[in-house]
Amino acid sequence: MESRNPLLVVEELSLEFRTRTGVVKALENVSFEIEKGQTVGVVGESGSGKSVMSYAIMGISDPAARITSGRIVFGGISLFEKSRQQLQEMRGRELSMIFQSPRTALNPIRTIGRQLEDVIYRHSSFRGRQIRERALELLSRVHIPDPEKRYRAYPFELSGGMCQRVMIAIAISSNPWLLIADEPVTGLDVTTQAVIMDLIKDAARERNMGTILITHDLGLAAEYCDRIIVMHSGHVVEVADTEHLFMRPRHPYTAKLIGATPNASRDLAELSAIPGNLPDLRAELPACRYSERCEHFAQDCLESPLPRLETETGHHVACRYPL
Amino acid sequence: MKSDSLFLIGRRLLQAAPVVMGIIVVTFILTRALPGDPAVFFAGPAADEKSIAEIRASLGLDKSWPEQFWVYLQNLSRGDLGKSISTGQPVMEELATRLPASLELTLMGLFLAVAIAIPLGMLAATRPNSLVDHLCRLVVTIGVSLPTFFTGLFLVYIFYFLLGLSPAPLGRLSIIHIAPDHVTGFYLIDSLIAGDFEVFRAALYQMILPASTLAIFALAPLARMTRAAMLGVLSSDFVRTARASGLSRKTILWVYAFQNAILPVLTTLGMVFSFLLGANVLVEKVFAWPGIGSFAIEALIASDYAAVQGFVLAMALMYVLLNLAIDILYTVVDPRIGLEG
Repeated sequence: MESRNPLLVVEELSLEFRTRTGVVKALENVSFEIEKGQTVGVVGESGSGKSVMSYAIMGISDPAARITSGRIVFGGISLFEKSRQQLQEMRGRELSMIFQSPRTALNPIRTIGRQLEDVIYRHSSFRGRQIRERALELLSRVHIPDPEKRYRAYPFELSGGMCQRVMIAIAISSNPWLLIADEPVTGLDVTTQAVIMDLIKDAARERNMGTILITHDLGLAAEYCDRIIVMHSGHVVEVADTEHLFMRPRHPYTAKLIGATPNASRDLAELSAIPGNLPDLRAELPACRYSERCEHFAQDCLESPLPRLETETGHHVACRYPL
Repeated sequence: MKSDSLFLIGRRLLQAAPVVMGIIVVTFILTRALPGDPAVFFAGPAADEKSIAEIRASLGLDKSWPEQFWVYLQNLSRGDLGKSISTGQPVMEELATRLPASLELTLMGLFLAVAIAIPLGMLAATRPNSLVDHLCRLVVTIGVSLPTFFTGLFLVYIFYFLLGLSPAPLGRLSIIHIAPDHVTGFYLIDSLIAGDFEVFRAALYQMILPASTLAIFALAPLARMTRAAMLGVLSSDFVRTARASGLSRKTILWVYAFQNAILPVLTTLGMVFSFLLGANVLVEKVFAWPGIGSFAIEALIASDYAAVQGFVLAMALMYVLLNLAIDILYTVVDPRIGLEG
């Protein structure tokens, strides 16, 4: 196995938005790696930069976004050295993405079959009849019952779970190397959640595909991910193998997140909220953006640079005083 | 799917029937409620009581309203809208010659407006705050703030009086040309059918200024709606999906964004068309266009109510047909229509 050759390397990535009210420093020095076939969870509160980061990897950032430093290396090649045309061809073919609220993520006035065909046509050499066959094959691959009939359905005629299956079919149509799933099961009922997550997992295993699972549901991340990246207001605060992270969180924020997650063996009353809010990213920020909310705050937490320690092999934490 | 839309269209047609019936009733009552006694007007200033009464009887105005309405309905079913009191011609005939003139002008104006407004709105939406966007804003502001009769006179002043580029604003054809044989009543089409390109060109030249006047007026709401709809659609989730799937810019813009953005534009188009029918009246006056707008004004002044009735009825029917056409287009474009109801 070619394990010393990571599929995706994000290196010191910083990104900001130029808005009317000021520059929003949405990501700062974000670094992590993904191996082939690995499933990596990205967790954090809303506004922590999870989606912004995934859009940056896909190259579909908002026009107001500026990447100010860092590199994204995919399959050994820096994505920033590619032309717009090359990036467009890679999207959907080598890098794919599925989104939250699948029903609005599909074109409302085009049949799902046509939408699937559009992507197959774009990225494969299939033509004519073959495209349709491939599309039907993909629809049955994601366990859509009666694909011939569903083929002509519009998104509004399908349930959210069905639409997410269509999204997955579109995303895996060209056997990508990396799938980014941005809150793929948020808003779906629990049984559908499990079905969709299993679909994603199976698709990943069959293709040895890397997966980034963006979620605010720690339980989900714990169940499906090999590694977990914890983000807080544009910083990666902790990266570790899932087991390590849950057994021994080193960053105070991670510990709080775990403490705020309900599970079967715990009383609801035991859950604790994380005090404070995410800081205003337009303002002048301290080195550690969590310092304001942190119970272990010390004066030198405000001093740059933000320390990044490797407490054990593969367990990184961005904290001066890890737990 | 196909038979579903046919069913919807059929149902929509049926729904139009009571509307048409309502229009007939309203036009009848409305014209009777107009001030002024047509018998007195028609008899002239020198008439005495007796001759006025005779004329009233000959016009059928001495009967009760229900009786008059019954007669009106019977006449309508024969396509008889009565005679114009002032011209003595059957109203149907007048409308038949004048309506195509108005329609040809309005459609040409609308076509010009759509041909400019939609690309302009799309370009403005794909390049916010660029030069095109500012141009779009400028055009919209000009379009909504200038009254049509002013635009018309201004264009005549520039292109006819100062530059001499355009023919005199005196109707559909200059006097040296003979109108083509009547087939559709649209000179542009009839002249092509007759194979007379000379007349086609002359009719087109004659139409450019009045049609542009209407187009400038209609452009504004269309361009603004196209821009707003495109901006909305371009930031929607499914366009993001399309981009994440690597679809080409062309496909995203035309197949994904435009087809969705066209829906509100269609609605606006229907509205704009009805505004245009109204704006027509003044434009026809400025360009001496022999359409139904000028006909209606004269009829109204003369209390010529067969003519007014005919005009209102024709216009109302056109609105109904237009809305029907828009609805049908909607069902064709948007599969979600017809789910409710």
